[in-house]
Amino acid sequence: MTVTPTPDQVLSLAPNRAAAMAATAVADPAAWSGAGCDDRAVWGAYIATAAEPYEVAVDLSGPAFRCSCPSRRVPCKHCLGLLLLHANHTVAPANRLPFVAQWLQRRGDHPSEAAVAVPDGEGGEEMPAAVERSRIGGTTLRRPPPETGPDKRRLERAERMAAGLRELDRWLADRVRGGLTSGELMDETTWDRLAARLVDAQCGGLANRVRRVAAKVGQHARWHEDVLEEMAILHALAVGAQRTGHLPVELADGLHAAAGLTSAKDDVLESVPTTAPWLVVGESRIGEGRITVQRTWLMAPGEDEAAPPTWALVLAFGAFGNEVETEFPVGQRVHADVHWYPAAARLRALVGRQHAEPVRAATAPVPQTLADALVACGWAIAREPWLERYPMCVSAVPAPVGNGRWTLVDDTGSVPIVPGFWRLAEIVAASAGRPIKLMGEWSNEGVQPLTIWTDGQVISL
Amino acid sequence: MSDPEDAGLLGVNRVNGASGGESSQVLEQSTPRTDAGRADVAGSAAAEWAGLVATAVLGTDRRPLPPAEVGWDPWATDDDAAVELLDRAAAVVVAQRAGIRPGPPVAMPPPAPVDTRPPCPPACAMRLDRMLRGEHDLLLAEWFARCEERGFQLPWVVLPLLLLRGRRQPELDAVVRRLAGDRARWLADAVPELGVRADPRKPRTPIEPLCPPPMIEDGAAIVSTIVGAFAERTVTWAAAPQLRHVVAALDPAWLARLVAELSSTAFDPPGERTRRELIALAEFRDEMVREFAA
Repeated sequence: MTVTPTPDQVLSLAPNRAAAMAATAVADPAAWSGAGCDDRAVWGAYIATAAEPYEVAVDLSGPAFRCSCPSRRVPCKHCLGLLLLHANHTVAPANRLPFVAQWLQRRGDHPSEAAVAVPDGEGGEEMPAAVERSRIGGTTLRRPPPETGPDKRRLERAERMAAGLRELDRWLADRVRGGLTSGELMDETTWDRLAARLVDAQCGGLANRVRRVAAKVGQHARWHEDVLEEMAILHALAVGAQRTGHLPVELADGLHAAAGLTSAKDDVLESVPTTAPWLVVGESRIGEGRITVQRTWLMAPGEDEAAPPTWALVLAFGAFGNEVETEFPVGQRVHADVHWYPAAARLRALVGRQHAEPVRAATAPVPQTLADALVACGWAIAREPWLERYPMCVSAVPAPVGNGRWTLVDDTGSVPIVPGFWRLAEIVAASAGRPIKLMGEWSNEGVQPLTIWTDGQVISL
Repeated sequence: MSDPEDAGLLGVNRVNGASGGESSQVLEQSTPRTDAGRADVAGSAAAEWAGLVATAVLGTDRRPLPPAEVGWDPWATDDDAAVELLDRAAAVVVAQRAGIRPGPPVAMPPPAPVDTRPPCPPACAMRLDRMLRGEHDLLLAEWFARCEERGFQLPWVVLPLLLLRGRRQPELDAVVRRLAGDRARWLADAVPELGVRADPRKPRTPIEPLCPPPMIEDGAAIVSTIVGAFAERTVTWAAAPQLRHVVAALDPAWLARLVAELSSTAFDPPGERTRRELIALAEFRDEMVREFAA
């Protein structure tokens, strides 16, 4: 016995927002003829566009989808549109049409045995989130069996990731059981093995994170606290990423991205963009293994003076030895569509259409107070606790606090500069002990300055 | 004392699934807090964290997990002590990271004396930056001379680098400190880790500050000699250093002419590299002169 799905449940089956919108457009009763349903299936003929109507049917017990349209996407928009009509109770019970009866007969009486939970990803580019999320009534909605290559790969990837996450969490608990002072943690191979295991499990994001935590072991007298902090965040990630089906969609998306499953570029570019005159305000490059990651920060001013700016992070990658090409030089203004990767704290983005040639920005960005900037960081961390960096643009004075440590100071207080920042003297020289406009990345260790504005010059540090 | 809002401080709350459904609203309330409320939470967070660290260091097998501090009990739910420790640690860490606020203001050292000279125009500053990276640094002396002549400030962001180079090049140091004025001493005091003296040591022999070569007046003759040498194909790479110095000393009014004439001489493999170098140097210098004149 199946229960009628809700429209939200149906839309959660769509691989992306664009597909969901397309499905909504198809869910127009006037575009359908012969629509009907019984307690196992819903069917109809979609007559709106083609000369030959498409025969569409959905087996609710699988669910399984059938549509005579040329789209290779499963489920296609016609199937989803039909399900939406059904969800809105606009499909009346009827006798099965011949093609439906035949199809259901072929599927047999045990359709769900063959059906397996498959993430709706492609080559690891998308999310396995929808699997648990998508419930139709009491029945967990599942994808068709993995007959085809890509489907099988997706299934394998989801399973590998789940196994990796379980293993990570077990590993963390074992370390806490045995104590942080046990020799194992001091031994690099303990961490390397875990990182390697996570790479095998295709949780690349977590593997990199584990390596960064390993680097904190033994760094100073209180390293246990640093490492416990990071282990706790890893624990939250591991637990959360296994429970994405119970979480709000955007949080689930953020968790997947952190674990190493990012959305496909094409899907991101299909999302509704934020169009603004974006100012390119900062750039940093870090080596991660053999890959150079270039992070470019774009900033759009808030609606008014009091509103915080909107930030977008564009990543570019260069393989070992290859320079990353700088697409957006610091100091330029780019009037463009920015498309966000889905996340609870939206930062990572792609630049889509540019509405004008990039120009040198005539003015520097409007800074925030340190207090406001940290509130923005706090909000982002509350939304995605595993965030490692958040941008800020402030006007502050660099001031020493002893032991070679420096802070940024304004009327609202002080914020540390990351220890060992090697271009500090340049900022101090340019500031002359007065406020200087500065953009940087906030992390748990402090602000890493990336750009300063001084005497009409934009200087990338 | 268990403020219901506390639960909302934590994204972890929903990540752990401890309180499932209503989480998104809870989370929305999380960040801005009044200072009065904050002090209490921060206090109990520190105590909660200290207890967790103490147990984690020895391991839950050897040391029991302390009971949760006031306000932190929603996360003390797991049967497995190690898992509970991680749950509770995540709650504290996220609360502290999301609740981050600026530290108290610190005492600031006195700012540098006000410099009333106009700031160095960005184009000139960028030109200096290129030379400091090694591009046509033959012209450095002239850059400083023109900067001083126009009465501009130095581009301060490069002052540390100039002072560091000055440790090995007393002639450069002399001109940089003359142009920097009080700022050099101020910077040396403000950033002792730079390792630069506030006042340079007295040299045993007097130092000639870096200065540009005397200008060669007869530009027309120089240009025709250089161009003629290329036309007759008598220039090889060995002549390049000498020619560069001539271009650096040439009356700037003739630079554009030199570029134009050199560009139109015939291609000659042995002298080609030198010809291109001279064109680039003359163009670079011409641009520098124009930037200072602007």
